[in-house]
Amino acid sequence: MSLAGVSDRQGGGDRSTGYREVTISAVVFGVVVGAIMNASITYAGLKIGFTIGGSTIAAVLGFGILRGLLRRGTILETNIGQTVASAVNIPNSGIIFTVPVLLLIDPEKFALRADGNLFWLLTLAGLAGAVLGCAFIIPVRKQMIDIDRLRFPTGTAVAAILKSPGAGMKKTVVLVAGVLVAMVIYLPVGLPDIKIGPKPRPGQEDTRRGLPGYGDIGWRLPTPRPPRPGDAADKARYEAEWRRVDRDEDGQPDLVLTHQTIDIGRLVGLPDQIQFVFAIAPFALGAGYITGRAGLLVLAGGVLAFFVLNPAAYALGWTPEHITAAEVPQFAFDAFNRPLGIGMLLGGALMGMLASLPSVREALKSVATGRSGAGQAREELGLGVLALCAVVAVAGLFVATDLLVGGTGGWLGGMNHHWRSLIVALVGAGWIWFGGIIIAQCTGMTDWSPISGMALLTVVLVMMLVGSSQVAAAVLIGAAMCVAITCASDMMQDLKTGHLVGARPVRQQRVELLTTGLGPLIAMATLLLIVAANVKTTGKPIGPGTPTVAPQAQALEAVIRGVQGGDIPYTLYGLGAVLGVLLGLGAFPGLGVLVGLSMYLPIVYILTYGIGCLVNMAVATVKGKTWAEEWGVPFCAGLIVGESVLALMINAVVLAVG
Amino acid sequence: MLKLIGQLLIWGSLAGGALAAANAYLVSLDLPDEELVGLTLAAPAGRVEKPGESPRPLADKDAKVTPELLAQLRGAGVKAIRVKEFQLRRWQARWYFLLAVAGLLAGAWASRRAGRGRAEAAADAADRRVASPAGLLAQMQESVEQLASETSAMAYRPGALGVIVHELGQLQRSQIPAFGEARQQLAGQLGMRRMAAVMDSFAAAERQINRAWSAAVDEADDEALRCLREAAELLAETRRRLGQSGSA
Repeated sequence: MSLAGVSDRQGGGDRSTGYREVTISAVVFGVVVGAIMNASITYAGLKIGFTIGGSTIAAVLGFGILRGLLRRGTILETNIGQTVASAVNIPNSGIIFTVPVLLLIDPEKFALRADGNLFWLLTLAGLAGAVLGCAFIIPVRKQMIDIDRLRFPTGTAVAAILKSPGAGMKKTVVLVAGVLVAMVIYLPVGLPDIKIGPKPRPGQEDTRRGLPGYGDIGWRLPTPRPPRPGDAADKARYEAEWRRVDRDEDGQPDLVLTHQTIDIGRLVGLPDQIQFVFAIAPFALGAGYITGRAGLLVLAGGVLAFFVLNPAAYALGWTPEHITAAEVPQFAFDAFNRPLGIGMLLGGALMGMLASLPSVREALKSVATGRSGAGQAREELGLGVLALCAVVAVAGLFVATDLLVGGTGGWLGGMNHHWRSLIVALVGAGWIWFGGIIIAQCTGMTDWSPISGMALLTVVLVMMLVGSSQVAAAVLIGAAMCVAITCASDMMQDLKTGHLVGARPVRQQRVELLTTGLGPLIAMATLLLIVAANVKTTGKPIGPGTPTVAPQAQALEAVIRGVQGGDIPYTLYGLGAVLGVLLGLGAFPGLGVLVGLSMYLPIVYILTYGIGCLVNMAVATVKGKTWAEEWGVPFCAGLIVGESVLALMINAVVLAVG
Repeated sequence: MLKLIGQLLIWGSLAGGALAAANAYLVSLDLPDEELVGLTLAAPAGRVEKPGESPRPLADKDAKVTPELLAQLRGAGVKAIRVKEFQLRRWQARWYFLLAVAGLLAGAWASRRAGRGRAEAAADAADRRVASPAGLLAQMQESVEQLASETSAMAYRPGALGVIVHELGQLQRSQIPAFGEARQQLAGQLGMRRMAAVMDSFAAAERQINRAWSAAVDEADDEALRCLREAAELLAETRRRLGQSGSA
């Protein structure tokens, strides 16, 4: 049952052979699963800051429903199902990161109502972002997947799931083993989120205990040796050691093993200013393994930032005098690691693009013809269609900005109102294009995507253009940006999966472009319902004091207040960009992106990710590269899937019990 | 050796450059008052300790620097403060940053030169053995063509699709990744534009091979056979593009 007009084979091919790819059942499956995931993850994200892409879950469900229940899903049909599901689901993370900020800043001025303009303008911006993210990233597919052959670990993992029926029983067993191992490891991380007992009333503090997790094992740092009676020096030693092992001042040594991390640095007695802590995250381990050797550059960047730069800054007296050595990593992260990292990302991405210009030109030529060889069927969506989508989306962004932006401040302060809105929309669209490429490069090389950093820069950029009082306009473009870049990275992951299972890119591109607009609509509608319910029960729309505290939006709120207070270290961004550009001049143009990303991410995940890379190299050395790929990738795909599925299940329970 | 020197220069200069950058907003209190008064603190400064209390800063973030505050900070032994305003003249580590820039440029040059040398050496070695990119392509084309003709001969016989899954599985595990890894070598020999043209048609062939594998697993024999034929054509096209680009 091929969808009319979607299968566009020109002469011969799979229409004649009847091989099922884009079908009504696959698209309906994708829309339904994507919509359910979108609404539930929007709620979970606002409640506990949790979001996931959903490709892996959709792939697993695709097997259960399309192949299992309906008994008709081919590998490529299931691939289309997961492509649509993740396209419908993914825009929620862009919405929940940005839109609630307005409700946190001024709930009355920025009230969200279905009969108010603001809700629809933000939805329009999200929609425009979703379309722009897809339209801008499609022409880059050839460059990143066909020519640069970036790894896209999640995309590779999803392909391993889709290929499992033909990969043989042994590999399926290995994949399932990976899923089970991840679930066993991750279960004690997630259980403490499930709180038991009667729900607190609105406004009442939640004193319920969570289910037991790793922290309840009680593995603590060793207690300092008691002082010799009457020895003042030894007493001072004892007190100093106590302060080191009991940072939270609860009268007992701190945990080595918390619910989410294991602190090896403190266990082996590293200086306090060096943070050597591993996240208990099978997902990061699996992504690191699939990335392989290239991921070591991320690890090296993290080591440079957290083991060299921060301790050196501390030793040189560059950190404030009142903070303790243990507080140095957090201070350094906020004060210089993060801005330098974001700058390096920008510079590295720019250099990567410049270094690849000759091959980009070749790739674009091929995209323009749509074919890689004479007589071959069209493989890519045409540039004309993409340009039309982009123009329509930019027009939507212009309308939304024009109706929202006010005041006369910023660089464009003296300009006519409409010209100002047009420039903001065009600059926003240009920035979305660049941001999409950066995020796609990051996810392609490492699986990490620095969305919050890009949102921060977007907000700064818009506030510079129209004035720091124009928060709504900044959040509007920020929402479009965040939705766009999440859609762009998701699309590239899906296209990588498609490449590995032999899907036609043009079909995935078409269904993704046609369905991704549903994502912002569903996320905004869910947000509207949550806000209405919160106002009714707590008197507040969102944030502290309501069941949905919106942790990610609170982070962006802090950034906006920082911009308004002149807290943005522009010079550090610039110096980071210079370093990023220079790093890209060497033999590997992507180095600036990788190092920038590692300075920007929390070290706990980088270290776990780095173990995955090292394990890959060790296995390849002992058993050979082919063995490491053939057996390691399905297992690590299982690790990624296992954590995602279990996290979703745990969050479903959290939402059910409140 | 050149590669090692390049790497050392890059990572050493990066560390130095990042450290120098971290100093950009730090202002020495040795500067005269008129250069400091009016600045805004970007982080708390100084330290006050009272018995039984946690240490707290002498001046909070966002505080304006005044002559009185400067006197207090200097009196408390504070050497430098972190401020919101940047000025090149006040940046003490600017020369170290410039040095790091020079180091990164030198490291990039050394690493590029070493990379070119490695690509040439790999090409020379590849000429003497079958696993050169051209050799790999020839092997792949031969395997796919043979598989296509065998499959058409065995059409609809039990086991035909199992053969495709097995044979293409071998290609996916060995020759295809090996050709992908030769990308850098091809870029060194042919230049980025020509390498891109070769990889473009190779990736299309790879996708057809992957599709044939999926179709075979799904028991869609007509589609599997069609994809095998298309893959063979695309591999021939890739060889043509590689051949036009000179020997590889």
